[in-house]
Amino acid sequence: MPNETIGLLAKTYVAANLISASANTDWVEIDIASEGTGNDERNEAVVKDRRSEFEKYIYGQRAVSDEFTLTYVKGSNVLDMIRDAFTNNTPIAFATVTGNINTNGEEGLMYDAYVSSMGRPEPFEDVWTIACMFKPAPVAAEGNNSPDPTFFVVGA
Amino acid sequence: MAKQFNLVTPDGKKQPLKLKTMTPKQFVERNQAQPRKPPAKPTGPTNEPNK
Repeated sequence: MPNETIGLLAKTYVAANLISASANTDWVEIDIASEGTGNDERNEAVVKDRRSEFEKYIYGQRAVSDEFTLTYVKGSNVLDMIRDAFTNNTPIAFATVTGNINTNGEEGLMYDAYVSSMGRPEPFEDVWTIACMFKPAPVAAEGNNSPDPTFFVVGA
Repeated sequence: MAKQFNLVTPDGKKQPLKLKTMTPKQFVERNQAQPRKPPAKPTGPTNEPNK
């Protein structure tokens, strides 16, 4: 098995019971996902004045989000879960993994998320898809902590 | 109570998962601690002078 991976081998999951607020989190694979992008960047402030020829940057908070193209499948349970979260403005647990979440050694990132968009291109002669975006939600857990996105390793 | 993660399989059954969670800093430290493979030796002709 190579150490490299491709998107086809990676997996994404959602769960209705939140990471921060439930004793159990039951992951369901988003089997209708195709292309995806995990965004991870720092916000930046520009220092821009006459002291230098160059702009300088000060970095702020780390901004994580995940955007995926889903195949529009009528009656898909996982699509219904994501659409309900978006429609009702309720958080949903989200995980992106380098492979199966039950395979030892795979690595992933998980967080309680808001679904911030569900764009639906409607091509005339192509399969309908949904472009959905997950962003970390400030879910209050015990002690009013708002848990950060959490990295994990399977079976470690 | 310990946090439990499960995978819901297509047949609706729950499979318990063993996930080790870590902060971004711990994740980076773990990766840095991983043993690295030595670079592969070149198999083609080299520029070494003939002896």
